[in-house]
Amino acid sequence: MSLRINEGLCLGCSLCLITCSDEAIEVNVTAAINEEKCQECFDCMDNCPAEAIEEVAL
Amino acid sequence: MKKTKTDALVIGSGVGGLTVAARLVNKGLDVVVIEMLPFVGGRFSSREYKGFTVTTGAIMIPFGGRSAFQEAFDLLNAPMNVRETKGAFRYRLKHGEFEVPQKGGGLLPLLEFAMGDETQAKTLLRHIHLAMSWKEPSDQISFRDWLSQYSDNTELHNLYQGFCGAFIGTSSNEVPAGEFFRFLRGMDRSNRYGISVNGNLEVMQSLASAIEQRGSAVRLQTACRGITVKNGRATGAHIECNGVEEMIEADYVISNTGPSMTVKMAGRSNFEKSYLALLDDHPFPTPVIHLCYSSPEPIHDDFSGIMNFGNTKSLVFLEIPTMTCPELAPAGQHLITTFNIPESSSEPLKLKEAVENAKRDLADNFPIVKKSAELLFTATHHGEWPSMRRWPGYPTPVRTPIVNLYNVGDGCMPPGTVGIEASALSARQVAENIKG
Repeated sequence: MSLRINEGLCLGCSLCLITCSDEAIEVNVTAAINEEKCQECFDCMDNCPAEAIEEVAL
Repeated sequence: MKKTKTDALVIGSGVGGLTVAARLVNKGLDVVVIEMLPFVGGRFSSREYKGFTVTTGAIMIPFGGRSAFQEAFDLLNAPMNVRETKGAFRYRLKHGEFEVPQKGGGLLPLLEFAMGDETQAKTLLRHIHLAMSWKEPSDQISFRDWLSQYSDNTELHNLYQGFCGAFIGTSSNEVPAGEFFRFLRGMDRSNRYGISVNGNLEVMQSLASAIEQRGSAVRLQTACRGITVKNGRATGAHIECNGVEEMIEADYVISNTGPSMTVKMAGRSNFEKSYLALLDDHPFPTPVIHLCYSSPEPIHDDFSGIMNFGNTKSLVFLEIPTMTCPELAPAGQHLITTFNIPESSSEPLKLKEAVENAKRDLADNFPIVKKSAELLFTATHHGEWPSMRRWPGYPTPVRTPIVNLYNVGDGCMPPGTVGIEASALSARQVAENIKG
């Protein structure tokens, strides 16, 4: 599994960015996950008020 | 499915949600607060990021004897670790800065500074006083239209554009004229403002703890999947926590998710058409772009107050919270927070353009930003995470057509109020409707 941000739902509120302890999120208007840094702790998913972060099968 | 019974279910733990819960607990009710996120406070909370304590939205906290927000804490003897901002209030226009005298009496000098003409300033001041004390202007015209009746001075209009953006959340052509003056009259409601010493989360956790100490519950990572309605009454809600569903039955359901989301959760067909029309006629939240920088220097020496801008495209508000609360940053560092508004709050937000305008405005006003400040993050507050859920001046009542279903928060701000204090006032209105 990996995590993906649904750009259509992402608000750009940066809650995922300021929550991620792996610094694996970048926000440039909307958020994006750096897969190399992501440890799949799911904190970003838990902290997204727009439910814009999705699990996807690899 | 597990079933739980409570007196009042509160959906959302923002300012409206936790303050209404505190008031109901104080009346002796059993309350369950559910929060979908893993922390309390919503847009009035904070997170730790790169050694800084950064806000999830709001920054200035009303407190003091007349504040409804403070009152909710006092009812439960919950500590509120807020330090008063002692600094001055400054306006920056194209031709310079004006610092409002802290002893008061600064409006005429400010108008003179903006207009560059003493006689014109005195004439406008007279009209402002009349609008405040005698004849409130209509809400059918905007504040900009009202002002244009008396002056077309560009700097004066720029001054009030910045003021409206910073303190009312929308442009001066979007603020109803009557609402502008109601806001001015209400500004002394809680005349002290401060910053949370260790972040907003600590403040809201203090209130949540006080609620729990009295036997009620605040449940995190618990989402509402639907408000149940039978025979015109709300009976509770389906909730979900970690994939486990539960039914909470409640005598009262109070939503802190905004009136539109409340309707969605309870089912549109359960609401009167006139109520739906009220929401549908003006569905706009207020967007804001929040830029947060770190810097070894405060970028503006000896300034611990608030700066408001009338010389910019989108920057309206600058605060350096570490000038009041150095605890929010690592030693030797400052947090610089700016709030910026788009040209229109009703048009779809052009995010990229809005963020670029915000960055440019700050760099143009403070060239030192390019040299010594680092952008920590940008946050675009809109949609379901806005600055405020509805424009000031377009209120919805806390009551709904469903007799025991209420809204709290900045989706139903009482006239003349905004933000945190407005949310706390909406909670007070709801608590007054519910018998202990």
